[in-house]
Amino acid sequence: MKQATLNFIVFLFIIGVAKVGFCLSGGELAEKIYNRYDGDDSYFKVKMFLVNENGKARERLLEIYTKDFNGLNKTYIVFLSPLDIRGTAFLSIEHPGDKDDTQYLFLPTLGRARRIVSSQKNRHFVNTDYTYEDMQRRKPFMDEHKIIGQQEFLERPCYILESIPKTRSQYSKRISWVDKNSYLILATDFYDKKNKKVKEFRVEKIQKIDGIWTPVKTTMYDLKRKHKTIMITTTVKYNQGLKDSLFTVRQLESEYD
Amino acid sequence: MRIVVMAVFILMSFSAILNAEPDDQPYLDALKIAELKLAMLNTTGDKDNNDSKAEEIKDDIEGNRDSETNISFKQRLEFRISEDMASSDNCESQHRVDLRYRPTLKGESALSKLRFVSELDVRVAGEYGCCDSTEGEVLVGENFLFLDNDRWNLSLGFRKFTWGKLDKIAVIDRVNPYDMRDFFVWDKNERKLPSFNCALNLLLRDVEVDFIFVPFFTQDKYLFFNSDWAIFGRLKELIEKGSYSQTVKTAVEQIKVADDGDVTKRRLRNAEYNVRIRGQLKDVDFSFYYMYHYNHVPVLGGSKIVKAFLYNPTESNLNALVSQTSSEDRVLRREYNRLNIIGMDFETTFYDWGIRGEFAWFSKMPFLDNHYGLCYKDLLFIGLGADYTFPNDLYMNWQFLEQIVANYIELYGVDRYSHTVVLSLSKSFFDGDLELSIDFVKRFPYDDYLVNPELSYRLTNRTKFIFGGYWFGGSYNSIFGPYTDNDFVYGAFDVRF
Repeated sequence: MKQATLNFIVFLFIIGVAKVGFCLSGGELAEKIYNRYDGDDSYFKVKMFLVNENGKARERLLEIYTKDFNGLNKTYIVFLSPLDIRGTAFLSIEHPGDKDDTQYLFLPTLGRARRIVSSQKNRHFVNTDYTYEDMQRRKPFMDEHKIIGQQEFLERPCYILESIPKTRSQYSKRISWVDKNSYLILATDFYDKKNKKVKEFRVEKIQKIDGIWTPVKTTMYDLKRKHKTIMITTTVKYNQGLKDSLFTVRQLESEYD
Repeated sequence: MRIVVMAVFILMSFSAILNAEPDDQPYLDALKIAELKLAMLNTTGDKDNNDSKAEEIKDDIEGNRDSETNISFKQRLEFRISEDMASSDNCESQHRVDLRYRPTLKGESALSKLRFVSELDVRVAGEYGCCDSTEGEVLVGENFLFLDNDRWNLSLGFRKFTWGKLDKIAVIDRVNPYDMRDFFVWDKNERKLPSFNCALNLLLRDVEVDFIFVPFFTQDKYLFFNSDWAIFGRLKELIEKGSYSQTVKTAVEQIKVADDGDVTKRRLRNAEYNVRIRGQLKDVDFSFYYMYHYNHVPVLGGSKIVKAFLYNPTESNLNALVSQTSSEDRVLRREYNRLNIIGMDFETTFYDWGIRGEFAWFSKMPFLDNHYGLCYKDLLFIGLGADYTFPNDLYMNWQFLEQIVANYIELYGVDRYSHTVVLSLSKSFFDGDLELSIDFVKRFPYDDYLVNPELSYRLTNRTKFIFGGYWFGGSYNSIFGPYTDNDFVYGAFDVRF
C-alpha cells in the first residue's frame, strides 16, 4: 500500500513537472526572453561581413555598447572601419509602454545627429540585412506569442515560438527557436505581409562569458536580396560600469571620423 | 604649366589608390581571421565554466578603440575636373581642376580622456580658358585638444561645430566662418572654416549647455574680383580687355576692397560668444541659442558712386566712377558690425515624417539701400524642414525658409519677405554603391535658382567616383543669377586612405 502510495506521488510529481514544463505560455516565454539577464551593461567589438549573392564581401568593424536603465535599454553603435563609414554612429533609446524607440543616426558628413523616423525603421541599417526595426527589442505585449513546438537547435533543446505583431511592424510573423535553459533566441525566421519567409537569423556559436550566454557568431540572411550579414564578436565585456553620458546625443555628435 | 599640374594631380591620385590597401580582401580569408579571433575568445571562456571571463583580444584591425591609447593617421584626397557649359562672351574659365588633400592625425587616451585632432587642408586650384592661373594654399584644418569627462567636456583649438537642425542652410549654424570663394559649389560642412575657439559642454541632468568662446573674430572668405565666383565676377578683366580709354581702365583698376582693421585685428574685444541650451520635452528635441557675434559676411562701406558701378555696371555709372571719384574714393572698406542673434530649433518625428525647424532673430543686420548706402535692419528667419522615405527607398528632404526684414525700406536685392525652398531627393542602388541625388534651391520673389544633380559610385570602401553639374538662373541682382554663365559639369574622385 505504502509502495502504491509512493508510486502515485512520484507519478503525480512527474505529471506535475511535465505539466509545469509544457505549461509555459507563449507570452510567458516572451517575457522570459525580454527579461533575460544580459548584464547591467555590455560592450561588444564586432567584425561584420556583408556578403552579396556572388560571395563578394565587404568588411566592417564596429563597437556596440548597451546599458540597462531600469529595465529599458539604451544602445550605442559606432563604426570604426572602413574609412568611408568610420565615425557613423547610432543611438537607440527604449521607452516604457508602446512608445516607439527614439533613434538617432550621426553621419560625419552631416556633422549632426538626425532623428530616424518610423518609416525609416523598415530601411536597412547602413546597408546591412538588419532594418532599423530589427535593431530594437520588441516588447512582449507588441506581439501575440504562441509556442508551436520544440526542437533542438545548436544541439540545445529549444522552444519554437511564433510571434504575430499586434502593433506596427514590417513583418507578418516571426518564428524563433529559443534555448530552454538560457532563453536566448538561437534562430528566427521572418515573414513578410504576404506570409512569405523573407529573412533568416541564425546564431552559429554561443559562448558563456561572465556567466551570460552570448551569441558570438550570427548570420542574418535576406532571402529576397540573397544577401547576408555575418557578425563575429571578437571582444565581449560585461558590467564595466559604462557611464550614462555615453548614451546621449552629445556623445554621438562628439564622434570624430 | 597646366600639363605639369594635371600630371602631378593624376600621379598623386593614382598613387593614393594604388597605395590604399585592398578593402575587398578575399572574404574567406578575412572571415578566417575573425573566426580565429573568435576561437581565441572561446579559449578564454570554457563553455561549462560559469566564472570564466573573456580576456580582451588585442585587435590588429585598423581603428582599435578599446586599447588605452590610440593614434591613427588618415588621409583624404579629392580631385575634381569641371567644365564650363554656358557659352558667354565674357571672360571666364572654361576648365577648372581642384585638388584637396587632407591628412589627419588623431590620438586619444582612454585613460586620461584626452583626445587630439590635427588636420591640414591643402588645396590646389587651376583655372584655364580666360586668365589661366594655378594657385595653392595650405589651410589649418581642425586642430584641437579635447578633454572628455562624464558630465562635461572641454576643447581648445581650431574646431568646427554644427548648430541648428536644417540641412544645407545656415541660419543658426554660424559659429564658424565659411569659405565662399567658390560660392556654393562645395557642401556646407566643406565650406566651413575651423576658427580658434574654446568650447565647454556641460551635461546637467537632462539639459545640456554649450559655451563657445571665439577670442578672435574670423570673417567669411569672399573674393570680390578676378574669379568666376567672385562677388563682382570678372568685371575688372572685362574693362581691362575691352575697348575703353586708359583713364577708364585705370579708374576701374584702382577699385580695391580694404579690410576693417579694427575688427579683424586679433584683439579680445573682438571676441564672439555663443551659448546653446539643449534638451528634450516630450518627444521633441529642442535648443535655444544666443550669439554675440560680428556679421561674418563683409558689407562694403565707402563711395556710393563706386558701389553703384560695381553692383550695376552701366555706361552712366562707369562715367560717374571716372569723373566723380578720386583714387582714394575707389578704395572701399569691408565692414563688419556686431550682431545679437537669438534663436531656437526643434526636431521630432510625426508619423512617417521627420520634422525640424529653426527660428532666429538677428539684430541690426547690414543691408545696402537702393542708393548703395549702408543701413541696418532687424531680420527674422523662420525655417521648417520635413523628410520622408518612400516605400521604394526614395528619400525626400524638403525645407522652406522665410526671411522677414523688420521696418522695411527699399533695399538693394532684398525684399521685405523672401521665400526659399530647398528640395533634396536621393536614391541608392546596388547596396548603396550607386547613389543618385538632386538638390534644388529656388528663391521665389527673385526667381533665381540653383540645381545640382549628382551621381556617385563607390568603387571600393575607399574610392568613390562622382559626376554632377550645377545650373544657375535668375536676375543680375539676385544671389544665383549673376552666376548663370558659370553652369558647369564635373567629374571627381574621392579617395580615403
